[in-house]
Amino acid sequence: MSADLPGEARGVTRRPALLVSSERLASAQAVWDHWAVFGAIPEVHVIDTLGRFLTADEARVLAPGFALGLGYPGTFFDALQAARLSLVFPLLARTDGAIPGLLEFMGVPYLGCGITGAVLAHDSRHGRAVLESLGLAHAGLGVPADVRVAVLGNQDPSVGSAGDPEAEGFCRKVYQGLGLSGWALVGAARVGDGWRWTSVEIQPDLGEGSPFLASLEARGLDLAAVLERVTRWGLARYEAQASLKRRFREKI
Amino acid sequence: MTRRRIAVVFGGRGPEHWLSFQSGLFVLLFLDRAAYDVDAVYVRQDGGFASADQFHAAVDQFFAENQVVLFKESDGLGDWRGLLRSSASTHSATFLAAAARHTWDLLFPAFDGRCGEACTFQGLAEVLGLPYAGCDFQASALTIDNLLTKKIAADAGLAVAPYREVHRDEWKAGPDEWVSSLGSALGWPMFVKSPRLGRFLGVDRADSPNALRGALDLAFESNYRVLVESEIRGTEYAVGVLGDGMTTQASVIAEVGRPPLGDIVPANLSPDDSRVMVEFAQKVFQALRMRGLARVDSFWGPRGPVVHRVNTMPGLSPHSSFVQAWSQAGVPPRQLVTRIVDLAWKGPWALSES
Repeated sequence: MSADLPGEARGVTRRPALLVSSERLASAQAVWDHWAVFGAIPEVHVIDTLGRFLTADEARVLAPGFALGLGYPGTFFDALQAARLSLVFPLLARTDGAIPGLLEFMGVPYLGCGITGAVLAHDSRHGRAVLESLGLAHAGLGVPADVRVAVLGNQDPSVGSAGDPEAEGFCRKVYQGLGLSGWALVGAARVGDGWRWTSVEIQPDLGEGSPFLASLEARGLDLAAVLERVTRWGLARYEAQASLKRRFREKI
Repeated sequence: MTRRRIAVVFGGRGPEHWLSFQSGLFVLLFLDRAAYDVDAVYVRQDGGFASADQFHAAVDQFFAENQVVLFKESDGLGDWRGLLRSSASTHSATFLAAAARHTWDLLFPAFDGRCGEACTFQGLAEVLGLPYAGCDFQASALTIDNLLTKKIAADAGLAVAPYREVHRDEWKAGPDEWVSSLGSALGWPMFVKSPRLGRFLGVDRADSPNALRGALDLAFESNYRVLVESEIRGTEYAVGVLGDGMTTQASVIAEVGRPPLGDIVPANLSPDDSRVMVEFAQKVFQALRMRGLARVDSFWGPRGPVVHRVNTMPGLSPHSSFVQAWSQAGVPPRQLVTRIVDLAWKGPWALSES
């Protein structure tokens, strides 16, 4: 399962890659166990807590139990420069949208949230203003979430279970209101008669006890099913964007 | 002291490839060579980084196919073709790997166009941890979307045209109700816009329910969310703004014209109205937390300025109204490029350097 890449990618054997921050190694291991979803064994690139992109040898030291996928030359940037990545799956503890920006510039399909959604989810002031314009208010600083709902999809997303259809519908609206894609975990609190949002995680943890996976398992979706969908949607988004660019290039 | 090296990056996959190419050449010509070493990094239309030979060939093709004048005699550029040739870099074909090794101290992106590289290159620079000229990544990503620009401006108390955001599933669930409610809320005529496209692409004027229905059906073929806004009856003006996040400077005002007439610089506005328009543009710049440079376009509506759109990387050429408006404000091209570079050094990375 890989998208056709332009230019220098032709003639190069391409592989998928997981781009993992060191805090998300447990998530990466869970995803790695389902690597067949990506159609080929992925390279695993690790970013340390200082934001450095590690070589495979450096990553082996940091993650000794995580040997698979660490047999490539150079760094993530070398892999991008050589156009050998067919697909990148970011599994990061923090993201402000810069990684999706880098990948879009390099023309590499990726999974998970796009640039604008990531910026809004990261920028609390602007994110709040955008959601308030849709009548979706923030609960306020320090208000704990009563529910945390997994949301999956691009424009017509499906939601995990929170045991309250009203809360699930509210979290779905928050996801759509921020223009998110891929997946996210949305927290909400009941305030008075209605729901207010508390948090939006666009890179939910997939390790043991993950509330994101728990919310989806209640709907009968396991990690393999989630990964299959997220991969399909990520490639569909890439194709849609490429098609839009082609159309407007022709129009101009 | 080691001289600092700047990479000017331009071209790209976007439909406005050659406009970006022109902006890139403009920056290459007017960057201060006495102060900086300058490299051209040309991104081909297929997205690959060009070699030095490919850059030379593209320059030849550009001037063979276009009657372009990039400077005036009074700019004193001398052997400008030689200047461009000497800008070719041995590192350009392996730009990403070279940038990761911090071959350059500063990146100057000159990408124009919403369907192109606008904002994505800034993401690349952020990941690499390299300073770059122009608006930062977050502001570039948000202002590329007209709908988000309006929401953030409105949240800051700035006037925007009355609008509605329509989502595809809502539209499909009840088109008749939407046509009726949009007609009541916004009045006729109204504009249907793809939020992320340019000034004229993806914009339809609807002056009847049937026209609105057709425009929305068309817009939803390639968008999930669509901006529908009232027509503002008034003249549109553009103001060039430079800023470092704390203070701003403004150019003279241009009156925005439709192609092929182009913009009129300076606009015919009274001193009082000019002051109001300039202050409004500076407030928009700050509300959107922009820095570097931007062109802020606003209508002069019945009650004063109304935000229309912003462009975080306006086209750079002697013919662009952005450059003309700065020239008429006493900032000719070389000074303009120098100011943009000076502002870039004051970005957030300045704190970590100190």
